[in-house]
Amino acid sequence: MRVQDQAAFILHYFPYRDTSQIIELFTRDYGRIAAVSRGSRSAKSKLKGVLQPFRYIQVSWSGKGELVSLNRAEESDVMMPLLTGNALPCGFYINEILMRLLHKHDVHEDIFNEYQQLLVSLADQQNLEIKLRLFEKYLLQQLGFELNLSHEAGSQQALDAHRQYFYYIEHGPVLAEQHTHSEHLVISGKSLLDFQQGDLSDEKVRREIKSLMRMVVAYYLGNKPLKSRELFR
Amino acid sequence: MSHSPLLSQLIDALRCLPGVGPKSAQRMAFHLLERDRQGAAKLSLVMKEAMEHIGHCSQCRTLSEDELCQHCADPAKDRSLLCVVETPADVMALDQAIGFKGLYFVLMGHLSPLDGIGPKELGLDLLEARLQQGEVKEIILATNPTVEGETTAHYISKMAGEYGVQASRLAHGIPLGGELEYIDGGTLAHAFSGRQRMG
Repeated sequence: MRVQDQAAFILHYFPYRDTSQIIELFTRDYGRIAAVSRGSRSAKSKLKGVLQPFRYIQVSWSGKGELVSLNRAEESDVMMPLLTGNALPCGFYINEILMRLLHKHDVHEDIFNEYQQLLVSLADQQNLEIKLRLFEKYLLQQLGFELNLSHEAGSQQALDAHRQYFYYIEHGPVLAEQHTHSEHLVISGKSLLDFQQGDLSDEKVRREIKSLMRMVVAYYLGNKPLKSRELFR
Repeated sequence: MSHSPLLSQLIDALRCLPGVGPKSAQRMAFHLLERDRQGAAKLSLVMKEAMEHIGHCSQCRTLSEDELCQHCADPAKDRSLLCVVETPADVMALDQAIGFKGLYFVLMGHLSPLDGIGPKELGLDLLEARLQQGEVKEIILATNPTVEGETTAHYISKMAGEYGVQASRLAHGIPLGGELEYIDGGTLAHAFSGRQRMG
Protein backbone atom coordinates (compact mmCIF):
# COMPACT_ATOMS: atom_id res chain seq x y z
CA MET A 1 0.00 0.00 0.00
CA ARG A 2 1.26 3.47 -0.91
CA VAL A 3 0.11 6.62 0.80
CA GLN A 4 1.05 10.03 -0.55
CA ASP A 5 1.34 13.35 1.27
CA GLN A 6 -0.53 12.47 4.41
CA ALA A 7 -0.80 15.15 7.10
CA ALA A 8 0.95 13.95 10.25
CA PHE A 9 2.59 14.82 13.56
CA ILE A 10 5.46 12.96 15.16
CA LEU A 11 4.54 11.65 18.59
CA HIS A 12 7.79 9.86 19.29
CA TYR A 13 10.93 8.64 17.57
CA PHE A 14 13.94 6.59 18.47
CA PRO A 15 17.17 5.56 16.73
CA TYR A 16 17.24 2.43 14.63
CA ARG A 17 20.49 0.93 13.34
CA ASP A 18 23.25 3.44 12.55
CA THR A 19 21.51 6.15 10.60
CA SER A 20 17.80 5.30 10.65
CA GLN A 21 14.91 6.04 12.94
CA ILE A 22 11.63 4.47 13.90
CA ILE A 23 9.01 7.19 13.90
CA GLU A 24 5.65 7.03 15.64
CA LEU A 25 3.29 9.18 13.59
CA PHE A 26 -0.19 10.46 14.27
CA THR A 27 -1.68 10.84 10.81
CA ARG A 28 -4.95 12.48 9.89
CA ASP A 29 -6.53 9.71 7.81
CA TYR A 30 -4.72 6.59 9.03
CA GLY A 31 -4.42 7.17 12.76
CA ARG A 32 -1.29 6.21 14.60
CA ILE A 33 1.33 4.36 12.57
CA ALA A 34 4.98 3.43 13.03
CA ALA A 35 7.37 4.01 10.14
CA VAL A 36 11.03 3.38 9.59
CA SER A 37 12.84 6.35 8.12
CA ARG A 38 16.07 5.21 6.50
CA GLY A 39 19.13 7.41 6.63
CA SER A 40 17.43 10.30 8.40
CA ARG A 41 20.00 10.33 11.19
CA SER A 42 23.00 10.52 8.87
CA ALA A 43 25.12 13.67 8.94
CA LYS A 44 23.89 14.78 5.52
CA SER A 45 20.19 14.12 5.99
CA LYS A 46 17.95 17.05 5.15
CA LEU A 47 15.13 15.57 7.19
CA LYS A 48 16.55 16.39 10.60
CA GLY A 49 14.73 19.69 10.94
CA VAL A 50 11.55 18.23 9.48
CA LEU A 51 11.29 15.06 11.53
CA GLN A 52 10.74 16.74 14.89
CA PRO A 53 7.81 16.46 17.27
CA PHE A 54 5.15 19.21 17.16
CA ARG A 55 5.86 20.08 13.51
CA TYR A 56 3.04 19.70 11.02
CA ILE A 57 4.47 17.52 8.28
CA GLN A 58 3.37 15.68 5.16
CA VAL A 59 4.58 12.13 4.80
CA SER A 60 4.47 9.46 2.12
CA TRP A 61 4.99 5.81 2.94
CA SER A 62 4.71 2.34 1.49
CA GLY A 63 4.11 -1.06 2.99
CA LYS A 64 1.54 -2.32 5.44
CA GLY A 65 1.39 -3.98 8.80
CA GLU A 66 3.15 -2.92 11.96
CA LEU A 67 6.04 -1.01 10.41
CA VAL A 68 5.80 0.88 7.13
CA SER A 69 8.62 2.51 5.16
CA LEU A 70 8.76 6.27 5.10
CA ASN A 71 9.54 7.44 1.57
CA ARG A 72 9.24 11.17 1.91
CA ALA A 73 8.59 13.80 4.52
CA GLU A 74 8.33 17.52 4.18
CA GLU A 75 6.99 20.43 6.09
CA SER A 76 3.36 21.23 5.48
CA ASP A 77 2.29 24.61 4.14
CA VAL A 78 0.17 25.11 7.24
CA MET A 79 1.92 27.62 9.48
CA MET A 80 2.62 26.23 12.92
CA PRO A 81 4.27 28.33 15.63
CA LEU A 82 7.32 26.84 17.35
CA LEU A 83 6.78 25.51 20.84
CA THR A 84 9.18 27.06 23.31
CA GLY A 85 9.66 27.36 27.05
CA ASN A 86 6.84 26.06 29.24
CA ALA A 87 4.87 24.84 26.21
CA LEU A 88 7.44 22.10 25.56
CA PRO A 89 6.76 19.91 28.62
CA CYS A 90 3.02 20.27 27.84
CA GLY A 91 3.62 19.01 24.32
CA PHE A 92 5.52 15.97 25.54
CA TYR A 93 2.84 15.32 28.15
CA ILE A 94 0.11 15.22 25.51
CA ASN A 95 2.26 13.13 23.17
CA GLU A 96 2.82 10.59 25.90
CA ILE A 97 -0.92 10.39 26.58
CA LEU A 98 -1.72 10.02 22.87
CA MET A 99 0.93 7.34 22.44
CA ARG A 100 -0.66 5.34 25.23
CA LEU A 101 -4.35 5.94 24.58
CA LEU A 102 -4.57 5.81 20.78
CA HIS A 103 -4.50 2.34 19.27
CA LYS A 104 -2.49 1.84 16.13
CA HIS A 105 -4.49 2.26 12.89
CA ASP A 106 -7.58 3.66 14.65
CA VAL A 107 -8.55 6.72 12.64
CA HIS A 108 -9.30 9.84 14.69
CA GLU A 109 -9.53 12.78 12.35
CA ASP A 110 -11.29 14.96 14.93
CA ILE A 111 -8.65 14.32 17.56
CA PHE A 112 -5.97 15.06 14.97
CA ASN A 113 -7.50 18.45 14.20
CA GLU A 114 -8.00 19.23 17.88
CA TYR A 115 -4.37 18.25 18.56
CA GLN A 116 -3.21 20.64 15.87
CA GLN A 117 -5.30 23.43 17.41
CA LEU A 118 -3.88 22.61 20.82
CA LEU A 119 -0.28 22.88 19.59
CA VAL A 120 -1.05 26.25 18.01
CA SER A 121 -2.63 27.52 21.20
CA LEU A 122 0.10 26.15 23.51
CA ALA A 123 2.71 28.22 21.67
CA ASP A 124 1.75 31.46 23.43
CA GLN A 125 2.53 29.79 26.81
CA GLN A 126 -0.63 31.26 28.38
CA ASN A 127 -3.13 29.27 30.49
CA LEU A 128 -1.37 26.02 29.67
CA GLU A 129 -3.04 24.07 32.43
CA ILE A 130 -6.53 24.98 31.22
CA LYS A 131 -5.71 24.00 27.66
CA LEU A 132 -4.34 20.63 28.78
CA ARG A 133 -7.42 19.86 30.92
CA LEU A 134 -9.85 20.74 28.12
CA PHE A 135 -7.90 18.63 25.64
CA GLU A 136 -7.88 15.67 28.04
CA LYS A 137 -11.64 16.01 28.46
CA TYR A 138 -12.15 16.16 24.70
CA LEU A 139 -9.83 13.21 24.13
CA LEU A 140 -11.62 10.98 26.64
CA GLN A 141 -14.97 11.92 25.16
CA GLN A 142 -13.82 11.06 21.61
CA LEU A 143 -12.44 7.73 22.78
CA GLY A 144 -15.76 6.80 24.36
CA PHE A 145 -14.81 7.52 27.98
CA GLU A 146 -16.88 10.66 28.37
CA LEU A 147 -17.02 12.01 31.89
CA ASN A 148 -20.34 12.48 33.60
CA LEU A 149 -20.19 16.07 34.79
CA SER A 150 -23.84 17.04 34.97
CA HIS A 151 -25.87 14.40 36.78
CA GLU A 152 -25.55 12.17 39.80
CA ALA A 153 -24.49 8.64 38.95
CA GLY A 154 -27.43 6.29 38.75
CA SER A 155 -30.08 9.01 38.80
CA GLN A 156 -31.03 11.93 36.64
CA GLN A 157 -30.65 14.32 39.55
CA ALA A 158 -28.81 17.42 38.31
CA LEU A 159 -25.65 18.35 40.24
CA ASP A 160 -25.86 21.04 42.87
CA ALA A 161 -23.05 23.58 42.69
CA HIS A 162 -23.06 23.98 46.47
CA ARG A 163 -22.69 20.33 47.41
CA GLN A 164 -19.73 17.97 47.56
CA TYR A 165 -19.46 14.79 45.50
CA PHE A 166 -17.34 11.67 45.26
CA TYR A 167 -16.32 10.91 41.71
CA TYR A 168 -16.57 7.29 40.65
CA ILE A 169 -14.74 6.57 37.40
CA GLU A 170 -17.05 5.26 34.67
CA HIS A 171 -20.10 6.15 36.78
CA GLY A 172 -19.88 9.73 37.89
CA PRO A 173 -20.45 11.88 40.91
CA VAL A 174 -22.25 10.64 44.00
CA LEU A 175 -23.30 12.90 46.87
CA ALA A 176 -20.52 12.80 49.45
CA GLU A 177 -22.86 12.78 52.44
CA GLN A 178 -24.44 9.48 51.44
CA HIS A 179 -21.22 7.53 51.10
CA THR A 180 -18.38 7.58 53.55
CA HIS A 181 -15.65 6.13 51.42
CA SER A 182 -12.69 8.16 52.59
CA GLU A 183 -10.27 7.13 49.83
CA HIS A 184 -12.41 8.71 47.16
CA LEU A 185 -11.77 12.09 45.66
CA VAL A 186 -14.12 14.76 46.98
CA ILE A 187 -15.01 17.41 44.46
CA SER A 188 -17.48 20.27 44.53
CA GLY A 189 -20.54 20.40 42.29
CA LYS A 190 -19.39 23.80 41.10
CA SER A 191 -16.09 22.39 39.80
CA LEU A 192 -17.85 19.62 37.89
CA LEU A 193 -20.43 21.97 36.39
CA ASP A 194 -17.84 24.58 35.45
CA PHE A 195 -15.68 21.93 33.78
CA GLN A 196 -18.73 20.69 31.90
CA GLN A 197 -19.04 24.23 30.49
CA GLY A 198 -15.32 24.36 29.73
CA ASP A 199 -14.86 27.14 32.27
CA LEU A 200 -11.70 26.76 34.34
CA SER A 201 -11.17 30.39 35.26
CA ASP A 202 -11.61 29.78 39.01
CA GLU A 203 -8.43 28.64 40.72
CA LYS A 204 -10.14 26.27 43.17
CA VAL A 205 -12.03 24.68 40.30
CA ARG A 206 -8.77 24.22 38.42
CA ARG A 207 -7.14 22.53 41.39
CA GLU A 208 -10.02 20.11 41.90
CA ILE A 209 -10.31 19.31 38.21
CA LYS A 210 -6.57 18.68 38.05
CA SER A 211 -6.91 16.00 40.75
CA LEU A 212 -9.96 14.56 39.01
CA MET A 213 -8.27 14.33 35.62
CA ARG A 214 -5.10 12.95 37.13
CA MET A 215 -7.12 10.11 38.64
CA VAL A 216 -9.19 9.51 35.50
CA VAL A 217 -6.26 9.62 33.07
CA ALA A 218 -4.24 7.30 35.34
CA TYR A 219 -7.17 4.87 35.34
CA TYR A 220 -7.19 4.58 31.55
CA LEU A 221 -3.41 4.54 31.20
CA GLY A 222 -2.86 1.66 33.59
CA ASN A 223 -0.16 1.30 36.19
CA LYS A 224 2.81 3.01 34.57
CA PRO A 225 2.89 6.68 35.58
CA LEU A 226 3.39 9.44 33.02
CA LYS A 227 7.09 10.22 32.77
CA SER A 228 6.50 13.64 31.22
CA ARG A 229 5.13 14.93 34.53
CA GLU A 230 8.71 15.06 35.76
CA LEU A 231 9.47 17.75 33.18
CA PHE A 232 7.21 20.30 34.85
CA ARG A 233 9.25 22.43 37.19
CA MET B 1 31.18 -21.13 3.72
CA SER B 2 31.54 -21.13 7.48
CA HIS B 3 34.52 -19.90 9.46
CA SER B 4 36.23 -21.63 12.35
CA PRO B 5 34.41 -21.01 15.64
CA LEU B 6 36.94 -18.51 17.01
CA LEU B 7 37.04 -16.56 13.75
CA SER B 8 33.25 -16.42 13.67
CA GLN B 9 33.29 -15.12 17.22
CA LEU B 10 35.76 -12.38 16.28
CA ILE B 11 33.67 -11.32 13.29
CA ASP B 12 30.57 -11.30 15.43
CA ALA B 13 32.27 -9.25 18.14
CA LEU B 14 33.47 -6.62 15.65
CA ARG B 15 29.89 -6.01 14.59
CA CYS B 16 29.22 -4.16 17.81
CA LEU B 17 31.03 -1.17 16.29
CA PRO B 18 28.81 1.48 14.71
CA GLY B 19 28.46 1.22 10.93
CA VAL B 20 29.97 -2.26 10.81
CA GLY B 21 27.91 -4.96 9.15
CA PRO B 22 28.81 -8.61 8.53
CA LYS B 23 30.90 -7.89 5.44
CA SER B 24 33.02 -5.13 6.96
CA ALA B 25 33.44 -7.13 10.16
CA GLN B 26 34.82 -10.00 8.11
CA ARG B 27 37.21 -7.66 6.29
CA MET B 28 38.44 -6.23 9.57
CA ALA B 29 38.97 -9.67 11.07
CA PHE B 30 40.99 -10.85 8.06
CA HIS B 31 43.00 -7.66 7.95
CA LEU B 32 43.95 -7.96 11.62
CA LEU B 33 44.82 -11.64 11.38
CA GLU B 34 46.72 -11.47 8.11
CA ARG B 35 48.41 -8.09 8.18
CA ASP B 36 48.41 -6.50 11.57
CA ARG B 37 48.58 -8.91 14.47
CA GLN B 38 50.65 -6.47 16.49
CA GLY B 39 48.06 -3.72 16.11
CA ALA B 40 45.31 -6.15 17.00
CA ALA B 41 47.11 -7.27 20.15
CA LYS B 42 47.49 -3.64 21.19
CA LEU B 43 43.85 -2.95 20.41
CA SER B 44 42.67 -5.84 22.53
CA LEU B 45 44.89 -4.79 25.42
CA VAL B 46 43.86 -1.13 25.37
CA MET B 47 40.23 -2.08 24.84
CA LYS B 48 40.27 -4.26 27.93
CA GLU B 49 42.00 -1.58 30.01
CA ALA B 50 39.60 1.10 28.83
CA MET B 51 36.49 -0.96 29.46
CA GLU B 52 37.64 -1.80 32.96
CA HIS B 53 38.86 1.59 34.06
CA ILE B 54 36.99 4.34 32.25
CA GLY B 55 34.03 5.53 34.26
CA HIS B 56 32.39 8.88 34.74
CA CYS B 57 33.90 12.01 36.23
CA SER B 58 32.30 12.56 39.63
CA GLN B 59 31.78 16.24 38.92
CA CYS B 60 30.80 16.61 35.28
CA ARG B 61 29.82 13.03 34.35
CA THR B 62 32.02 12.90 31.25
CA LEU B 63 34.03 9.77 30.48
CA SER B 64 37.21 9.59 32.54
CA GLU B 65 39.42 6.97 34.18
CA ASP B 66 40.15 9.28 37.10
CA GLU B 67 37.80 10.42 39.83
CA LEU B 68 37.98 13.93 38.30
CA CYS B 69 38.41 14.41 34.56
CA GLN B 70 41.21 16.60 33.17
CA HIS B 71 38.88 19.56 32.72
CA CYS B 72 37.49 19.50 36.24
CA ALA B 73 40.93 18.91 37.78
CA ASP B 74 42.54 21.83 35.89
CA PRO B 75 43.09 24.72 38.35
CA ALA B 76 43.35 27.25 35.49
CA LYS B 77 39.65 26.83 34.53
CA ASP B 78 37.09 29.45 35.43
CA ARG B 79 34.82 27.71 37.93
CA SER B 80 32.07 30.29 37.75
CA LEU B 81 31.23 29.31 34.14
CA LEU B 82 29.49 26.03 33.43
CA CYS B 83 28.63 24.76 29.97
CA VAL B 84 26.00 22.00 29.78
CA VAL B 85 26.27 19.61 26.82
CA GLU B 86 24.61 16.32 25.86
CA THR B 87 27.61 14.09 25.10
CA PRO B 88 31.40 13.84 25.62
CA ALA B 89 31.74 14.34 21.84
CA ASP B 90 30.12 17.78 22.26
CA VAL B 91 32.80 18.69 24.81
CA MET B 92 35.47 17.88 22.20
CA ALA B 93 33.69 19.84 19.50
CA LEU B 94 33.28 22.95 21.64
CA ASP B 95 36.79 22.72 23.04
CA GLN B 96 38.33 22.61 19.59
CA ALA B 97 36.13 25.35 18.19
CA ILE B 98 36.16 27.99 20.90
CA GLY B 99 38.69 27.05 23.57
CA PHE B 100 36.13 27.51 26.35
CA LYS B 101 37.66 28.63 29.66
CA GLY B 102 34.99 27.33 32.01
CA LEU B 103 33.92 23.86 33.08
CA TYR B 104 31.54 21.42 31.42
CA PHE B 105 28.67 19.32 32.61
CA VAL B 106 27.84 16.32 30.43
CA LEU B 107 24.26 15.05 30.58
CA MET B 108 24.90 11.85 28.60
CA GLY B 109 21.63 12.39 26.74
CA HIS B 110 18.62 14.68 26.84
CA LEU B 111 15.19 14.70 28.45
CA SER B 112 13.01 12.25 26.58
CA PRO B 113 10.06 11.21 28.72
CA LEU B 114 8.67 8.73 26.22
CA ASP B 115 11.96 6.83 26.41
CA GLY B 116 11.79 6.94 30.19
CA ILE B 117 14.53 9.58 30.50
CA GLY B 118 13.61 12.21 33.06
CA PRO B 119 15.67 14.73 35.05
CA LYS B 120 16.99 12.08 37.43
CA GLU B 121 18.36 9.86 34.66
CA LEU B 122 20.42 12.79 33.37
CA GLY B 123 22.04 13.44 36.73
CA LEU B 124 20.29 16.77 37.08
CA ASP B 125 20.17 16.25 40.85
CA LEU B 126 23.98 16.38 40.70
CA LEU B 127 23.82 19.59 38.70
CA GLU B 128 21.30 21.06 41.12
CA ALA B 129 23.57 20.29 44.08
CA ARG B 130 26.34 22.10 42.24
CA LEU B 131 24.22 25.17 41.57
CA GLN B 132 23.25 25.15 45.22
CA GLN B 133 26.91 25.43 46.26
CA GLY B 134 26.98 28.87 44.68
CA GLU B 135 30.30 28.58 42.85
CA VAL B 136 28.66 28.71 39.43
CA LYS B 137 27.61 32.20 38.31
CA GLU B 138 26.64 31.56 34.71
CA ILE B 139 25.38 28.44 33.01
CA ILE B 140 25.62 28.06 29.24
CA LEU B 141 23.09 25.65 27.76
CA ALA B 142 24.68 23.96 24.78
CA THR B 143 22.20 21.14 24.27
CA ASN B 144 21.29 20.25 20.69
CA PRO B 145 18.72 22.37 18.81
CA THR B 146 16.19 19.53 18.79
CA VAL B 147 12.85 19.60 20.60
CA GLU B 148 14.34 17.40 23.34
CA GLY B 149 17.48 19.52 23.61
CA GLU B 150 15.33 22.64 23.86
CA THR B 151 13.18 21.05 26.56
CA THR B 152 16.28 20.04 28.50
CA ALA B 153 17.70 23.57 28.24
CA HIS B 154 14.40 25.04 29.40
CA TYR B 155 14.25 22.73 32.41
CA ILE B 156 17.83 23.56 33.46
CA SER B 157 17.29 27.29 32.94
CA LYS B 158 14.36 27.19 35.37
CA MET B 159 16.50 25.31 37.86
CA ALA B 160 19.27 27.89 37.45
CA GLY B 161 16.74 30.67 38.01
CA GLU B 162 15.77 29.16 41.36
CA TYR B 163 19.37 29.49 42.54
CA GLY B 164 19.94 32.91 41.05
CA VAL B 165 22.34 31.59 38.41
CA GLN B 166 22.25 33.34 35.06
CA ALA B 167 21.48 30.98 32.18
CA SER B 168 22.13 31.52 28.48
CA ARG B 169 21.37 29.37 25.46
CA LEU B 170 23.48 28.89 22.34
CA ALA B 171 22.03 30.94 19.51
CA HIS B 172 20.74 29.04 16.52
CA GLY B 173 20.28 30.19 13.01
CA ILE B 174 21.57 30.03 9.50
CA PRO B 175 24.80 28.07 9.01
CA LEU B 176 27.88 29.94 7.81
CA GLY B 177 27.81 30.19 4.03
CA GLY B 178 24.19 29.03 3.92
CA GLU B 179 21.46 30.24 1.59
CA LEU B 180 18.04 31.20 2.92
CA GLU B 181 16.23 29.52 0.06
CA TYR B 182 17.42 26.06 1.09
CA ILE B 183 17.02 26.36 4.84
CA ASP B 184 14.18 24.54 6.56
CA GLY B 185 11.34 26.58 8.02
CA GLY B 186 12.09 25.77 11.64
CA THR B 187 15.67 27.00 11.48
CA LEU B 188 14.58 30.09 9.60
CA ALA B 189 11.90 30.85 12.17
CA HIS B 190 14.44 30.53 15.00
CA ALA B 191 16.96 32.69 13.16
CA PHE B 192 14.32 35.31 12.49
CA SER B 193 13.02 35.50 16.05
CA GLY B 194 16.59 35.56 17.40
CA ARG B 195 17.78 38.32 15.05
CA GLN B 196 20.36 40.76 16.34
CA ARG B 197 20.49 44.53 16.21
CA MET B 198 23.08 45.94 13.86
CA GLY B 199 25.06 49.12 14.24
